[in-house]
Amino acid sequence: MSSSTELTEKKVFLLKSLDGVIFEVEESVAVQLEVIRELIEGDCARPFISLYNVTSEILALVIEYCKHHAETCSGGTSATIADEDLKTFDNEFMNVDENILLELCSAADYLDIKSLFELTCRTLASLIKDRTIIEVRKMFNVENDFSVVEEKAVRKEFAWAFK
Amino acid sequence: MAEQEKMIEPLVYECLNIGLSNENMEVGINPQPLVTVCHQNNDGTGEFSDKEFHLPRELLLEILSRLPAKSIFRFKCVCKEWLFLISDPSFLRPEDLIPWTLLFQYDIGTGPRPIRLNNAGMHCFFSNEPAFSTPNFLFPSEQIPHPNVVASNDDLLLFRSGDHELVYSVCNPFTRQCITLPPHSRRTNYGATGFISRIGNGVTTYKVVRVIGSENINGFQSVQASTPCEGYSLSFERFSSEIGEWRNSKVILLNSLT
Repeated sequence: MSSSTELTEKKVFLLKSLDGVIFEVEESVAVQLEVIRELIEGDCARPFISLYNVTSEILALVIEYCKHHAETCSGGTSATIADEDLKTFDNEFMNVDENILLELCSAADYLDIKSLFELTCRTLASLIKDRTIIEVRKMFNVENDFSVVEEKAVRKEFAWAFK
Repeated sequence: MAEQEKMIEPLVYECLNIGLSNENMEVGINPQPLVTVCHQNNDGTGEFSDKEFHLPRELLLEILSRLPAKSIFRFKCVCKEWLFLISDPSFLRPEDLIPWTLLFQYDIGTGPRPIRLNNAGMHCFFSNEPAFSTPNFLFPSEQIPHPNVVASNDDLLLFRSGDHELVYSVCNPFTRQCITLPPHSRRTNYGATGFISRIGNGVTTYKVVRVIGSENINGFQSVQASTPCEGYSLSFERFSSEIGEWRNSKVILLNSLT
């Protein structure tokens, strides 16, 4: 943070999560949520914004992500160092439980944070790519609705993929 | 978790206590029925409760589209919805895919020639002799003995195999599909071969064109010219996947026009 920004009064927004927890965020962080940036640009943003689809746990993570990205980008470091820093941060940030990853992905989509959405989608894809069918069913909470014969037929057709 | 909370310092207020839920102050972002979350936990302890989490279809597609080909085909077995999503022609979205890059060398007689294919993160290397072998997948050698890549278009490869009797095969290394074309009329002729494929409405069609002969013609009486002129007659055979058979055609090239 440079001293000049500290002198001017920072504009803050209050974001309320699904479960009623309120977070105070600076404008530089809030604008990374595309839905809020649009509200600000359209002059529709009030100091208090309800986010009905995001729980406080997830919103805390989302804000941490946006805060770090906002600070790194305005920190005055060279682009390559900032890039490296963000990469390290992103890697560590993705080191969470897979259920949280799924919720983060969904929140990034709802709040329209493109970089976080891409990051979570990529992480989830690399997480599941080598998993067994049963593990994938469990993770995505889907039931096997194939009959034994049907599943056998599909497996046979794509037998090469199971090698 | 404790560390994150320290960094962000969420202000935990009861909304009603401080009147922040006042209609005039509140701007809500339209709730979309994207996620089914049964959240039991309102005590702000930051613990995740057991909940049913169903990823919406659009998000599932976004994740699936970032998977390598092998995983995608495997995951067709997950459930009927996944099979449906992955099998849908729009899933592959040809316009979004990284086009195939095909590099191969024409160093005749110097052993294996590496061919590198790339499609949506799939890499494979195979040698041209005596049959393909790749770490990622194996083309059935009995299907295409002694193959030569004749041409490629989009993600299809046209192979010619056989020493005396030529057989053409069209392969899609991405899906490992391989179709051997029916015998053509002049099996021993090594004519120049062209290959083109198109994807329309999710269906791939292709055409193979071979030059099978040419002859000089003298004294050809064309409609346009008043005097007889010299030229060539080129014979082709064409295979179209839509028709499913080879058809012959002839083109006459006049010297005066070339």
